[in-house]
Amino acid sequence: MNDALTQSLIRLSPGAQRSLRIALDNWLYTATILLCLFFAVAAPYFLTVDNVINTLVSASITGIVTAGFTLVLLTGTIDASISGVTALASVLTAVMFQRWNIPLPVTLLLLLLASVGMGLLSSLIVIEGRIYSLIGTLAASGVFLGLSVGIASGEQVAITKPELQSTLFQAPLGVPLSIWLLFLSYLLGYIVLNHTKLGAHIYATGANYSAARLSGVPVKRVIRIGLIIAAVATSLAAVLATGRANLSLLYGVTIGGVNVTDAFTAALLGGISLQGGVGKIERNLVAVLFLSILSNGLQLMGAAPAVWLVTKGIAFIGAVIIDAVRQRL
Amino acid sequence: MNAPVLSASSDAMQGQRRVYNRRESTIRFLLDNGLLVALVVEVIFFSVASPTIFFSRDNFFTILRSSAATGITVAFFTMALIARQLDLSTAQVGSLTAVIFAWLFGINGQPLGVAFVVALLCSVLIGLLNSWLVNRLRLPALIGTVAVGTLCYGVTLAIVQASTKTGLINLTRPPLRSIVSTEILGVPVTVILMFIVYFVAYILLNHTKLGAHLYALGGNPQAARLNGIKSTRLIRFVLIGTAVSAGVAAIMVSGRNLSAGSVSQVGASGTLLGGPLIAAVFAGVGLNGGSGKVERTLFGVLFLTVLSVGMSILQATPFVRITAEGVSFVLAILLDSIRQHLESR
Amino acid sequence: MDQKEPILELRGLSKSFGFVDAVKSVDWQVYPGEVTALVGDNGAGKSTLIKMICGALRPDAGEMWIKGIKAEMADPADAFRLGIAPVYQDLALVDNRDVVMNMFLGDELTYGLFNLFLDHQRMARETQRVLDEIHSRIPNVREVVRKLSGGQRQAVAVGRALIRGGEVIIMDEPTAALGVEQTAEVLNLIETLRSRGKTVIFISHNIGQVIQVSDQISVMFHGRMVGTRRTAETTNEEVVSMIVGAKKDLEHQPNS
Repeated sequence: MNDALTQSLIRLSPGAQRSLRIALDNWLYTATILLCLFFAVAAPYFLTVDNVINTLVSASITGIVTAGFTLVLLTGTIDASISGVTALASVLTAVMFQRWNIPLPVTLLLLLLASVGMGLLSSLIVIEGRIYSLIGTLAASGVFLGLSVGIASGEQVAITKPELQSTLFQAPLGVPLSIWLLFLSYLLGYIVLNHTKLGAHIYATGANYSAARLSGVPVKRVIRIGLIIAAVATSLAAVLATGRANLSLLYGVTIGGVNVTDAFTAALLGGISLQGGVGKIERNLVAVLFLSILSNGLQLMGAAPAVWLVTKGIAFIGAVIIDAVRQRL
Repeated sequence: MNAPVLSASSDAMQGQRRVYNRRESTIRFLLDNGLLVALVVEVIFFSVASPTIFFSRDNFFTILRSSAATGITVAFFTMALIARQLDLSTAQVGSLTAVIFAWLFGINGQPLGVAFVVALLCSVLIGLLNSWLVNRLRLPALIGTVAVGTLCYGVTLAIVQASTKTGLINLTRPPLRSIVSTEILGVPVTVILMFIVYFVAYILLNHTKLGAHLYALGGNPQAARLNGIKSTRLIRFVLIGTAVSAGVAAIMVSGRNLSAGSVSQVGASGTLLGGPLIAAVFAGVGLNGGSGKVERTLFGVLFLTVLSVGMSILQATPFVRITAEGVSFVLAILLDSIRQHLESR
Repeated sequence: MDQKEPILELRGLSKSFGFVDAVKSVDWQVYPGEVTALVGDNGAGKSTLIKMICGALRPDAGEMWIKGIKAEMADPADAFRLGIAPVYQDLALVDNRDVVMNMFLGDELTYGLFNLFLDHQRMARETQRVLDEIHSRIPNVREVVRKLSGGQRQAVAVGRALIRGGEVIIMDEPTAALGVEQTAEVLNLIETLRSRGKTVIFISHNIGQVIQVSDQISVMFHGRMVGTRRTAETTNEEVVSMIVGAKKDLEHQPNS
């Protein structure tokens, strides 16, 4: 790269370059801390235990989706099937549990199988059809949406049986289950990416597909596993969202922020490259928390939802610009 | 380059290749024109299924009229894709432009022309912002436009919530509706605009330097640059083009609906991967740039509109409708994949 | 030999990237109608030098004179206008466009109002004429370049250089990725170009090929031009010793 920005960066002294790099590498952590300090002063109830738990709970759904999304993004694959997977998983949960009266554990088990199937279908289109991942998963998403509407005959299914909420609203050690699940998913993601062969293969596939293939990495299988993990994570988030609303999701309506844009925003804020192979999942957790804190603090300060959206947009663009500068150092 | 193998081909092999080429060209012809064939079959199917309602002059104009807004956006979207710029902000830029227009015209009481020009200037600015992110920061358009789209969505909501409680800005002031629904020689003006856009886009892509450079940039950016093609200007051109066309399309839709708001437009197409991408992919425009024909995307748009209008005339259930759309999308991309496979051999 | 005026002359050309001096004050003369070979190890600065001559990189210091006139080049298009036509190693072809559009890439022929429209017919005719001139056999000029063989692609890239009135054709490692037969084709192509009175700058690693086709050999080492020899008056061994930096010409050292 040989543009004006690179040129001006090259002119900086090595010391200045190094400190700039450290600042940019850790801007997310700094920004999150500053944001907390700001809201602690500006928003009166921000630092109460209830509010901290609230913030984490509201981060959990997007967070879990983003964990899976990140993993597959690291293989250089964009998973645009999130809305379809969410809709189908939500409808399946509601229909199996409520209409067909299947016990909850069996429902969840069947759902797990179904989400593995969804990931498989996506990967089949992307890998065997040799279709650009964004398009292939979008097509898969269309199929899932169609199925979800068909299964629920186009209606929202209300859940009246209490077990779903009573299970999901447990709070072991005083911490709500969804927060446990959020941290658990990132812990798992961290271990897989940093301490397993699969993780090494995921990074290799994303960084240089053909080099990885030539050196014996089973690239197709890696992408397939990535897409399956993403589908399972998204389904888990969908169950949480369904339980919270006690309603199945309806086509075209998103509940609880399960959508591609949010996952995209968080992943890019966390510094995952769309080309794959670069990024750390723990940074993404911080990015998700950052967004959640931002939303929560603005709400406490009485700002309109639009303010939150604009702030999110600016944060997104800011992250993208910082990333562009960072890559040139 | 496996050149030695190719050059060693004997006469017999060449003869064999020629026969193979003929069969291949038949297949390619079908794949190239499959969309047109599918469109004809589709129209015949719905005409037989609903001879009175579907097969009528009014309904054909309805189809064309509801294709117009999407069609105009898709034409520019295709040009951007040919230059390898995937612009995912069209839905959000469109609704922002429409809402700015609606606020100026419907609430602030500005004259129609002023509101229109100012709103479109805003979309030009957004297009400039997109191209700045791509040109200056060397971001892939995919990322830059998603970021900008998020921002636009927020600003749209802010304007709507600040100016109305219903979430919809009223647009019943006189001249607008009558302009949008004007007919020239019995043809709606929006439909005429759509055909003009496609005609100009066709000439531009196939018979001008600009078009040749867009194809070159998309096909091999490095080669284009080395041969003195200035990519910055081209990228700016296509990204402003998509933003402005999305703005015009959204204003046309609002004019017909007599209202603009974040709910009506963003709600329907607010998903990240809204309309234009599907239509363009449907018509076989590759995401890797350098390929695709704009006239085919018109067929893609018409195919999707006929499908949706036909389904609603037949009173199909949402399940049937969405499944039909999903299946035809999957089929379209599979066929395209086969075509690319044939071409890359 | 020096009775001819150089068609291309560099004086003190330099370029650095950050702290790396890629090209250090290079003086160089290239004579018309000759094949001049530019050799040197990897990282000797050949590519950077060539990119500056082609207008793809801007020199930090120094001058370029073309046909006795000082040249200012802001981008590749300026270099084309001055008759400098590069054939890049990867050939810079757009795979899914046809031969004609690749030949005229970036410099298409137009006609009509404001020269708005592409003149497809004239471009096809010109393409065929140039390909015939360099004895290339490409059956259909409307074929997409992806389907051509390595030698045919090379011919398209060279044809492109000729079609825009290239007088100095620069070929960057044209034989690097080719087999024996195709390499012979490319060397023939260079001979054809010389017989048409074109000037060729030929960059290569292969000393054998260089000695076979060139009139003059110039060697770069660590960013400096360490020596230039008439091919007829030098030996394989001498060139190699210059490439590895064992032997230098004092008169080519910069006197800064």
